[in-house]
Amino acid sequence: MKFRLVGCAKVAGLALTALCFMPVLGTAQTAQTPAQTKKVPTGYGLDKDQPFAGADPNGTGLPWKEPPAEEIEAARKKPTPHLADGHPDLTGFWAPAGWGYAVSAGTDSADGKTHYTQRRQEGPVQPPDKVAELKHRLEGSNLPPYRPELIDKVKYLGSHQSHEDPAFKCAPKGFPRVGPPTEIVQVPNEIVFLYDTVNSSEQNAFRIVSTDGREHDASLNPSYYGDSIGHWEGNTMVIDVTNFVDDTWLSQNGTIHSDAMHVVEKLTREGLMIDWQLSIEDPKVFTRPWVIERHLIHGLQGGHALEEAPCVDHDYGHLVNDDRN
Amino acid sequence: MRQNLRNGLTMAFGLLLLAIPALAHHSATAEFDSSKSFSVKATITKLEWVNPHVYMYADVTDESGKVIPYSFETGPPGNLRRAGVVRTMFNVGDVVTIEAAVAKDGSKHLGLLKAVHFADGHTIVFGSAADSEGKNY
Repeated sequence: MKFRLVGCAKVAGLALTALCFMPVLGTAQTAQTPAQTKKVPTGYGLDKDQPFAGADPNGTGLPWKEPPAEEIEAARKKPTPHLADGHPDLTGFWAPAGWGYAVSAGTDSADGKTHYTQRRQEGPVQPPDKVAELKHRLEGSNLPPYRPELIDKVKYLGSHQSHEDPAFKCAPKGFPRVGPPTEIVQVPNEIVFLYDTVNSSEQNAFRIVSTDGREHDASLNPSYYGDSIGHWEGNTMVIDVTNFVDDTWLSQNGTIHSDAMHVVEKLTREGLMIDWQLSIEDPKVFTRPWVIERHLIHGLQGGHALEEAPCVDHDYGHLVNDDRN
Repeated sequence: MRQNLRNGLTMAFGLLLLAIPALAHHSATAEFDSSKSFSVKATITKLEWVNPHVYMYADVTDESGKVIPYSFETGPPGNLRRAGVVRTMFNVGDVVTIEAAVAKDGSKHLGLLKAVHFADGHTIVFGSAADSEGKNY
């Protein structure tokens, strides 16, 4: 097989600035390539190019970015669908997976023979901007309000996430770390939240929110996702979530919680937008509730369904340092 | 078919240097060293389309004729799908040329996928085109 070198360019990024040569075949190829015949839609859902990812404007330590304000306002002005019972219909695809991790839509070369996943380049060591962002995530203005005696522990866990994060060994992320729901299915008496998995250990996560007026069931086992009971307050679905195990983190920043965690989740649909708010109380580890908010814009319509996402760790034993994401 | 094993910066086919594609689970730099890459011709033996990392297994025949099983890691299925890469683009039995970054812990037969070149001439690059910026991580 012969390759022709057709291009070079600088790879941006820290000390590594190298010339890159991409190989492509000669021009004799005429038949459709498998890359063309198996073309798949990219960037389905809301996260077309993940415009929300990679930043933390609210200082929460979570790698999310709000949609642009004008998009939120435009979506808010659209009609709000309601179900026969008169409540707003939350059904639909809403959010990128997790906290809005970065993913990218792939692209093809001009000749269609090379497909690029478009992942951001990372050199032999972490690029300075990434290091800076990770540092920022541990120093934000709205970080979980830990009791003073726990701050050093949380910082240690966050700094050693690659080795300490339980989710890295395929344990469930749990709620609320799983983030806002990717898809919501609303029926009378219950609402189902489904969570997509972009890059994580999450495995087909879901929550069933009972809305039939029942109380929390004290006989349920404590769980990663808790027991969710919802009711309507006007146009807002208010979900009370309790009965957690203390094995999960709230984010990848070493943010532990206790079994006393209590989360109030609120979803208010206006047009094609949901105002999603969390108030996380945990008197054993927090000095006050940690409140975070995100706006979700209705996304995928008729696109690709969520896929199965098993988790099998292979590489934990090969990690040589604590470089983290 | 003669197999190529190349370590270090000297690449078969005059390839390189794509910087290491970022991983979403742990940082790529925690496990792999993009300054030491290798390229092998290999036969795909198994695909594991799982979180947190997709694994591709492939047999490489060295110059003495010995068959060596290799393991290659890349991003998670969800990321790859959004990037336009799905499992059905690969088949057990495909003879491909694989570029990969070496493992920092010295594992000789483990790599982070940089590119897979198929026999019909098409290529999947786990990263960005040299002339375009990568997005996010």
